[in-house]
Amino acid sequence: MKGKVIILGLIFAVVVYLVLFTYVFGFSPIVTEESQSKWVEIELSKKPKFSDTGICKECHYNLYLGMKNHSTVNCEACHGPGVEHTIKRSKDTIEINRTRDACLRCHLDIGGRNVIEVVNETHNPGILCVVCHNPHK
Amino acid sequence: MNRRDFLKLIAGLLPLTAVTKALENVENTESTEKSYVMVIDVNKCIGCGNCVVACKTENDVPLDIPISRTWIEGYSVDEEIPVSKSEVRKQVLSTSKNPFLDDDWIKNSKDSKTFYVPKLCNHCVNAPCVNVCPVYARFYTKEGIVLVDKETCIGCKYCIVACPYGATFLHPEEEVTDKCTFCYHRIKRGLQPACVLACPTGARVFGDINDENSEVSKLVREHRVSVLRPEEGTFPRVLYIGLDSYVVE
Repeated sequence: MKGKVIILGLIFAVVVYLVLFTYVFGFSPIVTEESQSKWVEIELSKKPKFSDTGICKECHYNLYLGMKNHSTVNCEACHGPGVEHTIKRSKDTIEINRTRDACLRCHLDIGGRNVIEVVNETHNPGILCVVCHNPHK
Repeated sequence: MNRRDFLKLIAGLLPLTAVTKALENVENTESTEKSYVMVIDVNKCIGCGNCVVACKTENDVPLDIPISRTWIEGYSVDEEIPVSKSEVRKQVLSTSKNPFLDDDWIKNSKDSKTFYVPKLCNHCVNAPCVNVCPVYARFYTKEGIVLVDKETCIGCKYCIVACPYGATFLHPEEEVTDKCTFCYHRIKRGLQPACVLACPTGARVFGDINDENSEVSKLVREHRVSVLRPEEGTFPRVLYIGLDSYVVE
C-alpha cells in the first residue's frame, strides 16, 4: 500500500514537471516570441513628438530662401518638438526662444567648438543676439 | 504499406522539404535587408546637449534626472607624454542643464584639448543584455535593433550590470529597464531618430548600412571608424569617427 502511494506520487510529480516544462520551454509567449512581436506593435504605436524639416518647408518655405548659416540645421533643433504645431498651426504650439542663452547653447566660446562660429560674454553683453543677427539668414 | 511504398514516400518528401526550406531562406533574406547603424563624428560634436533634450522629450524620460538614453561626455585633456601622465577632466551631460556652459568648464577647457563624445546604446550584434535577460524581455528586431519588452521585464537589473557601456538604466516611473531604441517608432515611419534630427552640426548620422548609397555607407567607406570596447566582442552598431584613446568605455 505504502509503495503504491510513493509510486503514484512520483508519477504525479513527473507529470506536473513535464507539463510545466513543455509550457515554459514550448508554449509560453516569451518562447514563441508572441510577447516580443506584441511589444514591437506597442513600440510602433507610440506617437512621434518631433516632426521633420521637410514638413516644416511645406508652409514656411519663404524662410528657407536665402538661408545660409543655419541651412543644414533642422528647424526642431532650435524650435523644439513640432508635431503639435503641424496639427494646430498656431503660434503658441511652437517654441520661439529669443533669449541670449538659446543662441549661446551652441555659440558660447568653450573648448572643442572648432566647427562653428563662437562668441564669448564680452560680445555686446545684455543685448539680444537677434537684434543684430537673423538666425534665418 | 510495404517497404517499397514507404521508401517512395520518403523520396517524394525530401525535395518538398528542400523547397520549403529554400522558400524560408528567401523570405529571411528579404526581411533582413535593412541593417541600421549610427555613425558619430566626434570632431563635429560641440557639446550643446540638444540631442539629450530631444531624446528625453521624444521618449518620455524625465528631464531633470541624471540618467538618459543618450548622453554626452566631455573630455578636457592636458596632454603629456607618456599619456598616462595626462590630466583628464571629464563631465557628463545627461539633463537639460548643460555643465559645459559652467564657468569652471569654460575656464579649464579653453587651453586644453577638449572634445565631446555622444554616447547611447550600441545595439550590439552580440548583446550581453540580451544574453543575460532571464525572462527573454530583450530581443533583436529584424533590423538588428535591441528592444526591451517592458511588459515582460521584471526589473531584475541583470542587464544594467551586463552592459559594458552603461547604456541601460531603470526607468524611475515605469520601474522596468529602459534604453535607447534608435527611436524605433520614428524610423519605421521614415523619420530620423530624435537625436539625429536635433543635432545642429550633423555629428550623428543614421541609416541603413546595407544600402550602398546611404550616407552611413559613404562615411564608413571614406573614414576610419572605430567602436567602443572592441575587446568585449559585442560588435556595436554605433561607429565613431575620430575617437581618442582617452575614451575607454
